[in-house]
Amino acid sequence: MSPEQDWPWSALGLDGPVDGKTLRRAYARRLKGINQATETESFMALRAAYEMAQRHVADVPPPAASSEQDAPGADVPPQPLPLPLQAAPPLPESAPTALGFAALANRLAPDHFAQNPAEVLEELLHSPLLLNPKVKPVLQVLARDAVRHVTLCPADGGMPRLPASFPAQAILGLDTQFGWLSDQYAYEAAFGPDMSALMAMTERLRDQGSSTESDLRLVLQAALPPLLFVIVFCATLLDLAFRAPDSIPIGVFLALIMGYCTQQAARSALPSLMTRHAWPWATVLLLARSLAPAALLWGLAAILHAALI
Amino acid sequence: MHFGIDLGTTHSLIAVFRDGKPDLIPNALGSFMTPSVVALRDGHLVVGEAAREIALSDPGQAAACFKRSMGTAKAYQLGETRYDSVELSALVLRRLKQDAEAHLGAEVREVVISVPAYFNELQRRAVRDAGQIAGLEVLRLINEPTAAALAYGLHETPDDEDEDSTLALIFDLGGGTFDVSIVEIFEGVIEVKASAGDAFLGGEDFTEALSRIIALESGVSAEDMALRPGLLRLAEQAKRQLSTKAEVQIAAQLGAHEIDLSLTRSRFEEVTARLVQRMALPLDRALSDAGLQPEDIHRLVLVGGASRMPAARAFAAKRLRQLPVIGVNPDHVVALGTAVQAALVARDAALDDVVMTDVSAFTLGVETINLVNGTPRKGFYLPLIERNTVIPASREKHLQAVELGQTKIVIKIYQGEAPRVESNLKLGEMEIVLPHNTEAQEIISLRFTYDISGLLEVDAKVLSSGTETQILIQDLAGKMSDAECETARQRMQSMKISPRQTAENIYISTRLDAAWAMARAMQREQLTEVILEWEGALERQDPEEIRVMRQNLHWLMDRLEDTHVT
Repeated sequence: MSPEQDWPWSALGLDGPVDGKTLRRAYARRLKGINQATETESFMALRAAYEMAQRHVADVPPPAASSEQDAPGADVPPQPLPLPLQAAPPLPESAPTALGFAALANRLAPDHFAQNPAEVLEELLHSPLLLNPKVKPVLQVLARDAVRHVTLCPADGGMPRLPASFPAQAILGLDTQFGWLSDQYAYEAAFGPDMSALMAMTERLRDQGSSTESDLRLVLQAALPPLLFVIVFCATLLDLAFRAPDSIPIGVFLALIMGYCTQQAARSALPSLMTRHAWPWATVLLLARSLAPAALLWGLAAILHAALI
Repeated sequence: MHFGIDLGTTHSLIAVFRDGKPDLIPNALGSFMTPSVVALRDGHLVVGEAAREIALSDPGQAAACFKRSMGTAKAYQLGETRYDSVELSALVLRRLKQDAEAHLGAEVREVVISVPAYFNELQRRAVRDAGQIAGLEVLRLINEPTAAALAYGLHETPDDEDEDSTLALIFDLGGGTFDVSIVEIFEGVIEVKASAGDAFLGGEDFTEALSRIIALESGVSAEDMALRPGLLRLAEQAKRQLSTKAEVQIAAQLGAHEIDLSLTRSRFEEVTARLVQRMALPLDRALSDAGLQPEDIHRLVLVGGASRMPAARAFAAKRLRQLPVIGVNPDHVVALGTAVQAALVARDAALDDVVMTDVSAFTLGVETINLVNGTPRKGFYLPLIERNTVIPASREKHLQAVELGQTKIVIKIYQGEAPRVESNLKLGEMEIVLPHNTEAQEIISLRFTYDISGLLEVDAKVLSSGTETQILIQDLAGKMSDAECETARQRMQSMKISPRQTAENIYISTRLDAAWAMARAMQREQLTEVILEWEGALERQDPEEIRVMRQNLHWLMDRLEDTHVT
């Protein structure tokens, strides 16, 4: 056989599959001949071979002691937690804990949870059951399903959202317990590749941080062009009224440009204002937007009028 | 000789590797542990024991726990001047260097310094800078739990003939930080399999909790700045005593308040239960990253001064279902490990048969756009080198342009664990020009190469055209340039720092003052006499007399402080 076919064993100086002890010995021997700081390439090649060889060792000789239990070895890829079986949750040791667990699990059931998320989350995050390493993973699965159930994914492909009754504080609490926002692997282990819940939770936290102050900033950014537009619009009216109508006033061009800007600004700022329920500001922008086509028409009419005369 | 330094939140130590083994070096006071505190006294900066005494009696004149703000812009005001955590750490490092040089009579230049495993690139740079300012050459930084494992692993042999490898879990609860790491030891190879930690959990947090209880039960306000130093001092003493006793009596004078109460261990454990529970997350994470169950661990090794607390020991033992190994002094083991690492880096002949492999404590990745609910959204983190990958390592992934005809891709490089990039640390960015292609989305291959000194190399290759782009991440925002380091070093030269001998006298004087403040009427009279006698000796300036008196006074103070908490 060629060395390529013998890989990873050949890279470790072995002829073929061996048991774990011999493998570790071979790896140690090779490793001691490499300077990790300078011979980076050789180290990485050795390491890749060793990691691959370990996987094959793991499924070749099953020693009597460890074969009865399915120990999660290096060859098992991380998988999302299985969906919980509502009927048979693993029973905690003592009776009071079991009762407490059953009650909490019941309250975390999606339909029940959706009615009053704040209260159930409060109960979950203060539950002594979270301190029990055996029960905690089960609670995580239940909480995951509850959160997934209340996450709203708008049909038009908009931003996934949590209902208003889901408190932002609880999101931080869930993160402290399960690491959903602070640990990529924890999130993926719980939710899989679907990022909707993550987006919804981050959005809720962001909304919490925003106040009228940032609404005002948003509106100012959006309202500046319409404001200019109104000024120019009035100026044009005055201009037309007092000057000879046979020349094309500069104001007409400006009215055209400003009308266009208003439409653009309203388009960018309106949706986010509306999702935040900042109704007064949204109304102002809506009004400005409805005036914009009028300005465009007015500008065109003025040009036509001037051209005809 | 090879040197290693454990730059701790509350204490720092320096160790030397010689004659085939690591040894700690005592400071001027004969102690291995130098408090990581800097204080101002009579216009001079003092470092170590004396500074810690000042911090306890007059916190406004001292800076402590500055390791927690490494890599940030936080500044500490001492008198007229502001110092940042890099400068303060440099002062501590320089004191260690001077102590070691005085003890060994040889120059100390090249060192290995330990950092908490969770320290990010910015914080690591800050430690390197501090070393440089202190006149040291930092050969390598080593993760604290790794250092502990190294010191421990040197003596480790499997106790079972059938087992040829040992899996050890190092549980490191220090003054300000909590770290867990899992190592496999076989055939002279010490392989770190996973590490995890909590940046803001340590012995200091337990002291703080205890001080609040003492304040509450004796009816004084825990927020009162004048009483705080005394409260913390009592809490610290009580915490230490509660490690060996089931109940302590606290009797002292705090300002106008008479404190007299008894505190049981169960009460202490009740108020610190939440702190203890926070250790669960890093512990679980390290185990799951290493792909192990608690039953797989052969040895549980406790490290760090705070791991002496029965509550912490009990927690670790219960979680791992075994009793911890009693071995090296938990306060010393990290420093000893750094010296071993220094010897390994220098390829000391005594360690010919020992190799250590470490893991990257962080995930490294880039920002990507994902489809969420059918709409592309940006800000998602795509890991390339996952945390706890054995380094040096190199990993490659393929990325696709979002739109047809896209002309460039901006790669933003991040370090951290959060699935949203805004919560991670941005290391840098690079721009990749794509050929104009309206037929199909362009694809690039992105390769990260991370070496043992913490250098990250990013290579990108456009598959269709073969164009390659490469950057090295080493000069991060916040890193000092050589010129800045030089300026900082000169600034340190110009600082007025108390010489080592005077520092000892300041230590005694501050201790005496503090003891007087906390003593009750009877003791106060005696103490006044002692203080007068000490000041007389200082005026006579007889070095021998002062030295003898210092020794006696330390002995006296130790006895006296013990009477407050019994």
